[in-house]
Amino acid sequence: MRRLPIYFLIDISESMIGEPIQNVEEGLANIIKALKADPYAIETVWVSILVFAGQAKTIVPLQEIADFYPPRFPIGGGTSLSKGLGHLMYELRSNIIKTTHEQKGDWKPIIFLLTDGVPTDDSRTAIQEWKQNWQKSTNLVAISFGQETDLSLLTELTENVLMFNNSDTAQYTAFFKWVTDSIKTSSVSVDNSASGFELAKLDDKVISKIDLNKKTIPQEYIDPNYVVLAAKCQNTKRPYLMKYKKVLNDSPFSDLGLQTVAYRLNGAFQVDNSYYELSDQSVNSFKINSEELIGAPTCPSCGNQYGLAICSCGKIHCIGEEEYSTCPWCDTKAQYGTGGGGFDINRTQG
Amino acid sequence: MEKWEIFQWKKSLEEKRIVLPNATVGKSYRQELDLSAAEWNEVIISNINGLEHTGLAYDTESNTLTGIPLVSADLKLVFNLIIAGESMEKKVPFAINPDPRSLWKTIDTDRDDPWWKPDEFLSQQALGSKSLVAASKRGRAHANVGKFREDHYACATAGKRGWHTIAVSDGAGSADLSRLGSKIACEAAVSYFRQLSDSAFDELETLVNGTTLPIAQPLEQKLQELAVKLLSPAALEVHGELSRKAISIDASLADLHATLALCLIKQFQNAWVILTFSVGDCPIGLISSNEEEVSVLNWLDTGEYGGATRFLTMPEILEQPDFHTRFSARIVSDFSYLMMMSDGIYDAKFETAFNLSQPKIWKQLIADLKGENPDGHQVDLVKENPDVATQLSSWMDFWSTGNHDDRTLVIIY
Ligand SMILES: [Zn+2]
Ligand SMILES: [Zn+2]
Repeated sequence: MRRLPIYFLIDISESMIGEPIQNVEEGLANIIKALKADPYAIETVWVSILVFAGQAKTIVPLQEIADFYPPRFPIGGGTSLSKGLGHLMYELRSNIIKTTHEQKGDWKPIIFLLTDGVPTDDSRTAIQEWKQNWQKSTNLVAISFGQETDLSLLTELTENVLMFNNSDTAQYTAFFKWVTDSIKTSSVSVDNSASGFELAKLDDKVISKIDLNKKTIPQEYIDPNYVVLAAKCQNTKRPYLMKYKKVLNDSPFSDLGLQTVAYRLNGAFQVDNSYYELSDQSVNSFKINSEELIGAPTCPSCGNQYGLAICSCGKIHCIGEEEYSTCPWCDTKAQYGTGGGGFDINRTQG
Repeated sequence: MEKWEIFQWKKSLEEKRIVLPNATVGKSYRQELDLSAAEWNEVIISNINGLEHTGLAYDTESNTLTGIPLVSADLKLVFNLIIAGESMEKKVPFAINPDPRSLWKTIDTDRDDPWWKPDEFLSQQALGSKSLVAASKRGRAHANVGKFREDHYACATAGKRGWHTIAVSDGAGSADLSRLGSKIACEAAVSYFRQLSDSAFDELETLVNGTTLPIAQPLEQKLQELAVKLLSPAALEVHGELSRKAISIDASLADLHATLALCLIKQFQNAWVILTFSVGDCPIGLISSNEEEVSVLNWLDTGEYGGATRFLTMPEILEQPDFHTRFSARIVSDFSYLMMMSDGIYDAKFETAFNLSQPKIWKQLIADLKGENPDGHQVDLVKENPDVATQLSSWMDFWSTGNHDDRTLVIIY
């Protein structure tokens, strides 16, 4: 029997931490649940989930949907589209069954690429390879989460570039329903020997097709809607991330229509060591001034009172009631007081 | 333990995953939880909520989840844990998959439809010293939405000299009236030969009667020419009949898209003569009397990603330079089986055209028919078996993942 392989290539850079990644986790679980109830899909569809940040990784190898178990999504630093694409091509090369004399090969794989950031690396070579070897033998749908993605890159990969308005959980639900419907119609249409690839009808409020002729926004290198800071726990030595969301405040000169930008604490999340594996270590850090940040979390790893202490080495860690703290990054012992005035903090690239 | 250590311990328990592999309705399930990791020390699973009405139960002594699942479900089980005297809840996803077979519905076709036809048709008859059995059945994909069987077959004796005509046709899934197209294709082919005067066979019969086996090369050439001469008017007539029908019911010819595999067969004193014609992807296989060799008598119009099947309703078919290659002619002293099938059988049992040329795959199919299958369905292909057609019909209900098409199989044995 011929399989219809469905690949999800999902951006898990830092800005996805918290609610977005939970929504993606839940969304994928719902896709599988719906496909299991569909007689065509349960017999035909095979699923694989690949993730990428600074590095890429397979978190669900290609498998029947009956065997699918919801994975936990890791988080990494950076958005290396070239690593993501490279890994996708590697997976396709190793898993897709080609038609031979004795066997009918797989149906054309369908790939959903979900990304929310601007690539932090040069992806031209990977895109070239994609065009040469895979563009024709797969159906790729690229979906941009939010405005910041560099759409000109995605439009080079495929003519199916969609913009997803990921404002709330209801939108995520509608979006994943759309993905499910697209997979279902495709699994029926391969059975009828038709093209085997049909996207479901779009609800413009949730997801809209990008006009390829339209000029896209110029490249920016950091997601400006969120600031994510990477830190390490003094006690457990485990990494954690603090996410701040952009807020616009009326400035004292608000009658002039001026607003100031600030970032309010959205949450602090313990991550495991796969965070380092999936991060691009070579990437330079970007600075943000501490005065722009509103709120500081407790340490999500050990419960320490203050999760945003900055060592002289420039790295962030947690501090508690101890008199002398030890920086888990550089082992420097120091006494901390509340600093006055703003200072620059390294932020991640999202 | 320091305060932060307890904090981190609880945190890691929160993050810790309990993985329960998926269960399937009706299939016995047993999974022991592995709680040997260090974090699980001093953790007690006091209870699991969410298993009610599933047919499964958790035994806290052996940490085992067992039972036979009753219904499909996607659950979030809640594990109640007791950790150092404190209680904690842990949500664990657990899926009970449906049996894929249970997802298919059987919806009746509309009896009032002007082109209604039965979901199933079967027959058996004597054919010379051999027998013929045939069955055609609606596939799951059509049953699931109340659509008609698009396959068809017909067989009949032509004239008084012992010639038999067998036609198999598969209506195009994309054509609205393909159920009618396939019916007309088969019936028109059969009726063409029924009305043909016996003298039309004179030239062929004279040639055969003057032949000793194995036949010489030049004669084979002559035989092939006669096959074209005898069968091509039939192909034209079937095409014409489809065109006339389309006009009379105000439909387009494409609405009647159907394939055709046609076989004309007669037993002579010391030989069998088999002539064939085909458009589409219904193979005709001839298996030698020792069952060691197979000849596929027609080539198949198939494409790699499907959609390339040709239909007799396509006028260009009749004009293509390779039209004459759609005919074949054989004289054999005997054979064990001659089979004609629609792609509902071919896709499930052969998968590729290459496999059709492999005697071992035909051997598997024959063994399968004789009962080597998970359902134990057996077709006794012996002379004068009064139940052979119903046996074939039951056998044709075989489960094949991903193959949902109508199934038609004709066997001469
Ligand atoms: Zn800490
Ligand atoms: Zn330091």
